[in-house]
Amino acid sequence: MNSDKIHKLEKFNINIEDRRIFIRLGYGSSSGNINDQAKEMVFKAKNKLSSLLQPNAVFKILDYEATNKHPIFKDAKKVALCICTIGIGLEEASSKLIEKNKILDGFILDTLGSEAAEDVARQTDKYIAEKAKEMGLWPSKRFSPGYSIWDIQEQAYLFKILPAEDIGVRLTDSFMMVPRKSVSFRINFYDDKNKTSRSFS
Amino acid sequence: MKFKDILCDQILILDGGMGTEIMKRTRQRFDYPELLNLEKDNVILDIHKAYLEAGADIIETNTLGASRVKLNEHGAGDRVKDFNRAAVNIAKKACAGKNAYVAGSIGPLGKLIQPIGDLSIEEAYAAFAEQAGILEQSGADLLLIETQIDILEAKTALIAAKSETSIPVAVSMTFPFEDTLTVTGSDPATTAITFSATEADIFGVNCGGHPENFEPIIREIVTHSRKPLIIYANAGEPEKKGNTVHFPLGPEEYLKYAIKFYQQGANIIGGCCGTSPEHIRLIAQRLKGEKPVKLKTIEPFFRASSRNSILTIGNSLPFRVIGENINPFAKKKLKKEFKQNKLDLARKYARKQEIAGADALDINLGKRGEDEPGFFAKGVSNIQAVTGLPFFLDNSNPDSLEQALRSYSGKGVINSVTGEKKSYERLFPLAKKYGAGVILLALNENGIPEKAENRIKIIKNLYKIALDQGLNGDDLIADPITLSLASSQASSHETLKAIELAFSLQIPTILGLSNISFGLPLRRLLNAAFLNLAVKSGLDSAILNPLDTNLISSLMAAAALSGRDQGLRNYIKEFSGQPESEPGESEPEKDESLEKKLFRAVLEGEKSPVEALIKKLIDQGKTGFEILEEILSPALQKAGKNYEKKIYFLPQLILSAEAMETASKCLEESFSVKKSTKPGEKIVLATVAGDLHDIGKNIVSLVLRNLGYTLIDLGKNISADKIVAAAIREKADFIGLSALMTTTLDEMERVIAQKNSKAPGIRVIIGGAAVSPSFAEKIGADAYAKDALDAVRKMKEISRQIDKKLPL
Repeated sequence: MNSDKIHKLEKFNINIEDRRIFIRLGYGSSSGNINDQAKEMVFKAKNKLSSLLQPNAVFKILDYEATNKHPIFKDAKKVALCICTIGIGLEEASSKLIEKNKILDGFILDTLGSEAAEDVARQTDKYIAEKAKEMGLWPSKRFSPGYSIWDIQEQAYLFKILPAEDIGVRLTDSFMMVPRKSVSFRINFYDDKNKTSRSFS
Repeated sequence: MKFKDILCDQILILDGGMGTEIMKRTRQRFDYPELLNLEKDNVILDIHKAYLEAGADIIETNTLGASRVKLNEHGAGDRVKDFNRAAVNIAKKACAGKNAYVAGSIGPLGKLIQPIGDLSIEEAYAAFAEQAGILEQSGADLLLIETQIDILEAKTALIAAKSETSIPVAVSMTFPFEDTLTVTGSDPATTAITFSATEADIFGVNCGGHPENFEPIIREIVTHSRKPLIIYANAGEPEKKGNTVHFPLGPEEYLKYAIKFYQQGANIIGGCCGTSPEHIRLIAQRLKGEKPVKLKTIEPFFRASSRNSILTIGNSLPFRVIGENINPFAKKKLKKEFKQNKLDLARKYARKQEIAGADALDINLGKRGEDEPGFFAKGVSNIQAVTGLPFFLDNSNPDSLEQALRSYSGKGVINSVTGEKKSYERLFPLAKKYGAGVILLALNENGIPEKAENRIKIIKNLYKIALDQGLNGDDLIADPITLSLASSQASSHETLKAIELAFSLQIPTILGLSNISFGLPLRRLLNAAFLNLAVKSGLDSAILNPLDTNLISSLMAAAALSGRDQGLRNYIKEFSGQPESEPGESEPEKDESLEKKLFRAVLEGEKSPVEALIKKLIDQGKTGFEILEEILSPALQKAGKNYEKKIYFLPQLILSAEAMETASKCLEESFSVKKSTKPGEKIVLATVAGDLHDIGKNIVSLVLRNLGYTLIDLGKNISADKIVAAAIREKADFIGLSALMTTTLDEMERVIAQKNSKAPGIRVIIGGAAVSPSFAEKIGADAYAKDALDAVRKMKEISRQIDKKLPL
């Protein structure tokens, strides 16, 4: 496989656990407390969810030597860099609801969006991990800029390497992504399994 | 002696924690502990030996996460066999020459089953069946399905283990929180009723919170279950010390709890996370070989459950109502929907009946054709997602019933089994396998007997066969059958007589009510009158329409008259304050006052009636200001109190504030009523520069402005300059800042610095996911608030201190 190629994924079957939605809405982990009204609103929002999502991911696998050799890539043979998103549609719909004093509806939609973005990242992560295995390498867990030693400014590097505009994602001056429901990350590929369980991995 | 006999004869000691012992011996973290079975088998062997030497009768294999689904997380799904086989071999080796048992440990899959999660029931079943089979073939003496967080998952594991193996199987649930609910919301009674009906040989509780939380959990369980009981708790709640996790309870302290477990009726006692061989040694010295405590027999009620509620039916209990409305033969609209494979209406009826006060629901999705079993199973599962009530599965096709029972969370009820051989021979084993209750119907190959005595004969015969097949008394309820009065006038008398006979035999009873009036005019009148007679005869429950308020009112009166309503509590609660009216007089206005309606609309977050109610009140002479001060504000404040008492959760508070907003807008726009701002109540709110997340801030803004504060909401991604300038311009008392991203926290510090130099009198309150009280202190904010109501509290506190001129 050609390592330098830009990969794009756009077929996602988004799966969202109700339980996680209710936790994000403030119900804690016990479902016994959830009132009917909220349940109904979540079901309704879920029903129109698919029409609001444009999930997309773009990633590239680089040889370590071809990266900017940030310490977060240390010891990796190859590094996969990725940006994924659920598009801007859901955010716009959520904002519109909030403007119309339908704050809870907007909040629920936003919450579904967060989980959907998480799921797109999860599925892309899985796909990339498979690629690593095909290359005979061991994938690390995914890791995003803004955590630990990988400064948020490093977003700029990811956006330099990847054609984020192709999937409609841009970076603000404060290195936030628009649409907000986007996830950027790296996965290191190692030649030794033991290296995958190190910190930052 | 067989394991099960030993269990009833003496207390057996289970081993203690595995993870903490591994850590102690290796000082190393592993991706997943099952790896040691192959790579460091000596460590595991050593741990097993230490527990056996301490006196354990049962040791657990190191296979909690060794199912295919769980191992897949580590990319090791294809090594299920290796891990499990090696684990049993190590345990067997440790037991050599000793009189001890090896329990194959089976933990949760790490993914929840549909519809809560995304795992299909088939995948879950296959993973459990595979692991159970390997554990048995490798030589495990019993299986321990443990640390289970969801009853459907645990039930699936049990059914797989029972189908795949012939060794004893124990199920142990985990209650992680102080409010004693499993992760997916089942309370102890629900789990006990669910598993008491299954083929589990042992049931119990492990892991979870502090062992002192176990006392009420065990009490609930033994109220409903007589399965041999297994209990093993953690050595207290884990505390983080640097990089290591520490469990606070030492062997002596833990022993006190172990003795309590014994006194409450446990048969197998051991330890979970943080317990060591020393803990087990003390327990063994004290309890090993003791006779189990004899517990009272459980009350002879019929029992069923859902994921998060229980149903008990019995002579000494209140009358129970089972909602009949999900039935396409009575509702044409449903029939149409089911034809299109739709369930929206059925789900709506489920919720309506639950709100009306039904205790359980009868589910009839009667659709003919090849796809019936699949549709029924899917339907049951989908309807279960919107209601907490237990279900009576009303279906005569055994295949449909089996599929539905398999995916039902809890102990469902089969409606129904008849005295026909082909019915009970097929359905009793199903009830046993999936842990279901059964309605015994008084008819056989010859039809429905005319005489009550003969109907009871069929029921008694079915009862005996059911018990012989391993079902329990609390799985069985009798239906002496209602026939239409139009077809046989004598029949209703026989039905009532049969109820009396069943009552005298202490067999709980149920009736499908509406049959009585079939083909006759004004059916509701007949239904209500017949129900009253049946209650008088001793009927315990009926399948009826809980939305028929006349029927329910008359039922409550009948229950009160026939001693089914202790202290007339329900009757008084329901009807006190109802205006009395003489027949013949015009009905007084029975509706509640407009004030109350508006109060309730805001409290319950119903926007739609708000505007009309306000207009009516104004027409009646109320002023807009009175409406605001006397009705609207108290309603939202009540919602706030409910939220703080955890009666309400965030969504309900938001809905209430939204309704209030609708009301305030209406007052402002139509009647020019606007609340004046008092000192200490003006706030400039913003999400700091760089941060685009404003959902949390929007909620805070909504709640605060409706609680009477004057809000200037600047929006998101706002620079320090702009925030401080706005606060000065608006003469604000407070600046409220939010940030979700840790990367934008610096910005908060910048706002405070600017404010301090330009307007030191303004106070700053901060909040948001990335912010903590200590961070607030560090950057010199006046307070941290965790939510809108906390912000109100903090602002009041600060204002009080300013008034008293106290230093902050």
